[in-house]
Amino acid sequence: MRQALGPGLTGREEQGGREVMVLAASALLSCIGVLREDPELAFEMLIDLGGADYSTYSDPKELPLCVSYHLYSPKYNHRAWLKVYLPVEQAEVDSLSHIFAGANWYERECWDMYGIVFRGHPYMKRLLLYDEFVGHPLRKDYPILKMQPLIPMRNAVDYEAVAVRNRLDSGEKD
Amino acid sequence: MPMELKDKFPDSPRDEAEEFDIEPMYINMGPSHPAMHGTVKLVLKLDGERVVGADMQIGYLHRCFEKTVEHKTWNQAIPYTDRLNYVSPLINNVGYALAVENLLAIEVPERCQYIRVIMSELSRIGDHLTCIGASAMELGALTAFLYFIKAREYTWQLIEEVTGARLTISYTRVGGVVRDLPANFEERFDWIERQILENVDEVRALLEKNRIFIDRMKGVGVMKLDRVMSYGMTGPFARASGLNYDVRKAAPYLVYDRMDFIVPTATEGDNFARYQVRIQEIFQSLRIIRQALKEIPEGPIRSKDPRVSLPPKKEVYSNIEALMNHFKLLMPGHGIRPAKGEVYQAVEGGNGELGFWVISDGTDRPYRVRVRPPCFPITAGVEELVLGENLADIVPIFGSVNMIGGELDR
Repeated sequence: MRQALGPGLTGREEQGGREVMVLAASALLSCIGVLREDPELAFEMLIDLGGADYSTYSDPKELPLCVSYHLYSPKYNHRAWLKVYLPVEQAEVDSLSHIFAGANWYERECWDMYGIVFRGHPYMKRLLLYDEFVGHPLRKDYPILKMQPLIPMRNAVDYEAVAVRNRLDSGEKD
Repeated sequence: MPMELKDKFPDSPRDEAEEFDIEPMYINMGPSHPAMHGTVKLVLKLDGERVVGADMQIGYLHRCFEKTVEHKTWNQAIPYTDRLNYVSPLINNVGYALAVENLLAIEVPERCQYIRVIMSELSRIGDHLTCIGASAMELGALTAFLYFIKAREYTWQLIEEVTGARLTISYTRVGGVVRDLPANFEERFDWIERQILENVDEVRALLEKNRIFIDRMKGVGVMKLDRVMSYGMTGPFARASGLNYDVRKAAPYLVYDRMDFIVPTATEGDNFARYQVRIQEIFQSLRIIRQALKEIPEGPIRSKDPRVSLPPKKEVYSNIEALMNHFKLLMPGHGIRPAKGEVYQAVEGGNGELGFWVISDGTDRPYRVRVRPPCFPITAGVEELVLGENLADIVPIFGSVNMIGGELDR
């Protein structure tokens, strides 16, 4: 597997008895493609995708934001744990939603909570929070007691919201 | 297959109407709709009765679980995990406790592991009974719902006898469980098992020969295996489409590797297959509990490790080491402090793989807890699942998805 990843693999971590492969953000798409297509690996499922913010971690990291990917191969019953580290400014990584349909929502949640932009995502909209929310709450610089500004009451028939309507009318599935 | 309307009435005006340019209709289904249990909103674009576009909106039950537990101690997070999947809270408790124990590299005593298995399976039975019962009710089969809620009530009574609470049980601690099984547990379980089997038989007789139920379930809401894998779906939903993946078999935790059970699968991938997989899983869970009760050894229910467990009171009052240990565990800023590191621990929840990604900074509070909710990818797939189906079919499809707002929105 290490060979298959090639130069995209920039580091390794040992976490809880499992090996974590650290990938370069620029090489993510090609690495995931290889892991999925290689018949000897066949990582055909994206089990989990989640963000983390290491900016106040006692063991400082050069790039504090992190996206972690868990791939699973039903054929061989193998699991892979991959990570990509990103800078706080310009936290951008390629979207996997064209490879795995499940990545769509995970990436929306990650954008919502950490402000990580997924390039090429078809519908980059907040998932759990509302559109008018200010900030990205799971980042460490977001205080737990921070208040949000009041927003005007919304019209109950929000299918008229432009984004939703456009999405339904475009007729294509993400 | 029901006869097409235009076959029945060859001159039906429906055909002519297709020539006109008909405006599509948009409707909101939810967030407060009787069939959208768990509060979600589905914005639908309809062509007549057919769904041609769907936009699923979630987040109505977002309670900042992940942010909150970063500010609680490791054990204080356990009551919050109850509220993730409130239909099978024990599995959440177990998953979180296992993740933290992995961080600490603690193995809990064997009796505790068996108790956790028994309670998890009891929870899973309750989860499946609720899911099937509720989706049958939405199709008009109120009797089936009442029978299954009665059966679930027995499992909850048993859970109450063990944990002291019915729903928000907070039964595990890092390093063990709170109480041992009561003395008459096995006897009580035998009786409850008979009741559950009787109820399941009655409901199956009511549903599986029922024309209305079969017509609404068979061939409706089909999810093909490749789409299931693309979405990363797990649990009974994925197994009904032919994906043979169960965390209890693929990566056994606790004592599941010693348990003798099979993972029921189906290939159709429709509502009816999901119903059948859930029914079979109830039988398998009962089988696991029976075996676990036969094998369960005597012994302690909590780890003796001084990093997580309070010393016995008698020791605290009589020797200084135990007294210091007691205060070290209880003072703010001390308590349980796993070494720096991360763990991803997966358990098989009622809906599939429930994962806890826990990061420790070496302090008494988690640095980050991420939950991989089992119904998250499944709910994401609903947008695709309902395309081309009739509006009325959304109800049984959504019922078989078994969306749980608590874990979906966290």
